[in-house]
Amino acid sequence: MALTKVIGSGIGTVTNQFADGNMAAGSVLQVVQGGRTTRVTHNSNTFADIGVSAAITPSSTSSKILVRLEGTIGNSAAGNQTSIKLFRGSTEIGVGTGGDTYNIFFSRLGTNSYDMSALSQSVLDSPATTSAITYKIQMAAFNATGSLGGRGDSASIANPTRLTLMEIAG
Amino acid sequence: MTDIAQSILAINVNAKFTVFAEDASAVVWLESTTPISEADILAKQKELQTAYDNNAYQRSRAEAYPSIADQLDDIYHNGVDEWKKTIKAVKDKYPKE
Repeated sequence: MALTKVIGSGIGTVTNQFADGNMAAGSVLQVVQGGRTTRVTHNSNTFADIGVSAAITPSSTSSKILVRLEGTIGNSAAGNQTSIKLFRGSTEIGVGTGGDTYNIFFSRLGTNSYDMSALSQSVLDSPATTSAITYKIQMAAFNATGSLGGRGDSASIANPTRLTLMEIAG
Repeated sequence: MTDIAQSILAINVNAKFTVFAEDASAVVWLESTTPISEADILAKQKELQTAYDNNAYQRSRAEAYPSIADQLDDIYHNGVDEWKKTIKAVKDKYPKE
């Protein structure tokens, strides 16, 4: 069911019915987007901030936050891993499970140094707070140079990286 | 275009770093890597790009040569002299500058 929140004093009680607290579970209460439009390269197997974050203040402790990350990712050498971790504040979230070595939000292995792969992953988070929270990603490259928003072996292409937060009524 | 990361690694193959928006003046140096000056990085980038540009004919020839399997087939059926003609046509099309 798609709902649109109406804001305006002239519509009386209808306004109150569309207050955040009255929206049906699953309704989208707000959308925030952060990210960057330039390419980042990272040469280390230690995860580090790469300038992609977004902040949101939930209207209720029962709200969920749908976190979506989209962009492109690469590595300067064939067969090497570039990985992305997602954090709510300082807490890592959205990890995979059951991997022998890596349980991470997103990882990419490529065939060629010039390959660019779609970076697309999401998680439905339950922060249980009405305080402002910041989501961010970190990147690491396991051998060679990892790239976000472009080729791993060249600066010829730059793509946006988008981190989108949607507050969903609980 | 040769990027800043390749330029840094050409100077120090063990460097650990993050580069934002190809800005050589704001590289984040990691894991106790000794910083490299912006001027040195940009000079190395120019050097690498020049070398890359000068080798354009090699890349063009590599793409234009028949596969090894086709070349062996050419030699088997037509002999070495005919094979040489095939290869020479590519070399002539993309001369060494």
